Amino acid sequence: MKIFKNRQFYEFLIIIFYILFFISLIFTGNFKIFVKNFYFPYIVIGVLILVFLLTIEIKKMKNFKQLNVYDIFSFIIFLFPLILFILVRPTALPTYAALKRGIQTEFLSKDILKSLQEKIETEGKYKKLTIKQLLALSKSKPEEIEEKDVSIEGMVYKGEEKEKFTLIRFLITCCAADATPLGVEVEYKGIKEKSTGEWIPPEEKEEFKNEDWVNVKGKVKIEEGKVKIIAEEVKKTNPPSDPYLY
Amino acid sequence: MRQQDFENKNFEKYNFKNMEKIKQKKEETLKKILISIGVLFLFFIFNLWQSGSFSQLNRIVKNPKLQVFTIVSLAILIEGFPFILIGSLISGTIEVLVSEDKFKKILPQGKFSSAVFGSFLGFLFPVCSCGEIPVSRRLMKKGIPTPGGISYLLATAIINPITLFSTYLAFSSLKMVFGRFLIAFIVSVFVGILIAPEDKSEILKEYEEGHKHDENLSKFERIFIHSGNDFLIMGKYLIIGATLASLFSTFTSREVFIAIGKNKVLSILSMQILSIILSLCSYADAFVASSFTYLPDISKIIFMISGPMMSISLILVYFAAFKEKFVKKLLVSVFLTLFILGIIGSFLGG
Repeated sequence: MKIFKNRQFYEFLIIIFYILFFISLIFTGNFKIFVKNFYFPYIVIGVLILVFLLTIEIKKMKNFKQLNVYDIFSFIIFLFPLILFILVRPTALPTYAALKRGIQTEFLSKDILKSLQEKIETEGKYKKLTIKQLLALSKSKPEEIEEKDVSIEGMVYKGEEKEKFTLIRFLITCCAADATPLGVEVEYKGIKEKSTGEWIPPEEKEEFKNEDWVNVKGKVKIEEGKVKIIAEEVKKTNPPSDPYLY
Repeated sequence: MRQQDFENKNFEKYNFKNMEKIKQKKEETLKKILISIGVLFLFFIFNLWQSGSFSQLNRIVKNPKLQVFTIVSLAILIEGFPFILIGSLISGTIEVLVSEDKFKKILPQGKFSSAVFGSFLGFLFPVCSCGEIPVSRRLMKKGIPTPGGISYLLATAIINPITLFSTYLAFSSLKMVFGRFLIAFIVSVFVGILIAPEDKSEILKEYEEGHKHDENLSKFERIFIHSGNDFLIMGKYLIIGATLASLFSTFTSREVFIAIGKNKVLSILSMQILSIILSLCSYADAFVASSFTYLPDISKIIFMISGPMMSISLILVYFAAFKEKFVKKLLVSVFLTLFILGIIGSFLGG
C-alpha cells in the first residue's frame, strides 16, 4: 500500500489523533485532572488551529514523500502520551505526590481575602470549609475558627500513629505540575455517641485507607499556630467533580 | 589549477559518499532499535497473556508512581501544546506576511539597542515559554539582529504583563516583581550581546520549510503549512521534555533541594537545578516559589528566572529549533550569569 509509505499520511494521523484527544478532554471534562479551568479557552484555540492544520495536511497528502525511519520515530513519540493516557486512565494526583512535594500545613497568600469572603455554607452545626480556607483562617483570624465545628473533605494519608491521619488536598495554580499539597492533621478516636458523648471505636467496615476520599466532621483546635481537627465523624465520600482546589 | 579543482571535486565526492554511508548506517541502527522495541513489546504482551495476568495490568496502572508520572507529563503537554500551536501560527504569519526589508527598516539594528528592544517584545508577542521559540526563530530569520532574537527568547516568558502580575499575586510584594524583572532583563540583554554571532545561520537549524514557493497556494494556506512544520518539529521535543521533567519530578523529593538550600551559595544552585527539573509554566512558578518559605528571596527570584529560560522541556525544544553548538553556549551562559547574579544578590542582602 502506497499510502503507508507516505510520510504525509503519518503527519495527518498525528494531527487527527491529537484533535480527538483534546476533544475528548473537553467533552469529558477530564482536562481538569491536568490543568486549571483557566486553560480551557487555550485548549479550544489549540484544537481550532489543529483543525486548520488538518485541512492543509489533507491537501499535502496528494504529494508523495518517502517515509524514513526518523519519521517512524517521530510518530511513535507523538503516540506515546496518548497511549499512556489510554492505558493508565489517570484520575487525580495521589497522596504519593504530596509526600514527594512536602505537605504544607500553613498557607497564606494574596487571595486569602477572597477565600475568606466567599460565602461559607453550613451543614447543621458544622461550617463547610475547604482545607485552603481552614488553613488561611487559622493563620489570619484564628479566633473565628478555634473550637468551631467544621466539615471538610479530602484524601486520607495515614502515618505511623493509629489515631491520627492527614487530610490532603492539592492546590493548583496552572497545572498538576505545580500542585501544592495542603494538609491538616486529624485526630480520630472513633465515633462520638450523641446521647452519652462517649467515644466508640470505628467498626471494621467503616475503616478507611490511604487515598480514600472522606468527609471529616469535628472541632478545630489550634496549638502553637498549628491547626488540627478533633474528628467526631469520618465518612467515606465520592471524589469531588473538581479534583483540586484553586 | 585544474589539478587542484579536480582534487577538490574528488574530495567533495568522496566526502558526500562518506556522509551518505554514515546516514545509511544511522538509519540501519535506528531500524534495528525500532524492531527490537517492537519485538520486546510483543514478547511482553505474549507473556502477560500466557500467564493469564492481564488482570494484573489493572494493578500496575493504578500504581501511584505511574499515576503521578502520567498526570504530570500530560499536564505539561496539555499546557504547552496550545502555546506551541499559537506560537507556530504567529511564526507562520510573520514568515508569510512580513517582508524582510520592512522588518529591517523598523527594528533597531545596534547590538545593545536590539537586545533591549528584544527583551521588551514580550509585551507585543506575549506567548508563554513554549510558544516563544518558534516566534524568536522566525524573527531572527526575518532579520531581527541576533542579540535581539536571543534576548526575546530568554525574556518573553518573564517580562510580560501576565507573568509579572502573577508574581505580584503570589508574593504581594513589588520588591519581588521588580527583582524578577530586573534580573531577567540583565540576563537576557547580557547573554544576548555576549553570545550572538553576526551571522544568524550559526544559530538557526535549517529544516525543510515545505512548499515555500508553491504559487498555487494562498497566503492563508502557506501560513498554516509553516505553522504545521513548526508544530510537528517542536511538539515532538516538547513531549520528550515533558516526559523527562515528569520522571524527575515524580522520583525526586523537593525537600532535598530545600534542605540543601539553607546554605546561601548552595541555595542558589539548588533552586536553579530544581527549576530546570520541574519545568513549570512561568505564570505559575511564582506560586510554587512562594511556598519555599524558608529560602532567601534571591533564591526564589533565581528559581523564577531560571525555569522560564532553561527548563528541561524548553531545552529539548531549543535543540529542535537551533544549532547544537549555539544551544550549549546559551545554556552555559544563562546558567553561569544567573548563578553569579544570584551570589551578588545574596551578598547585597536579598
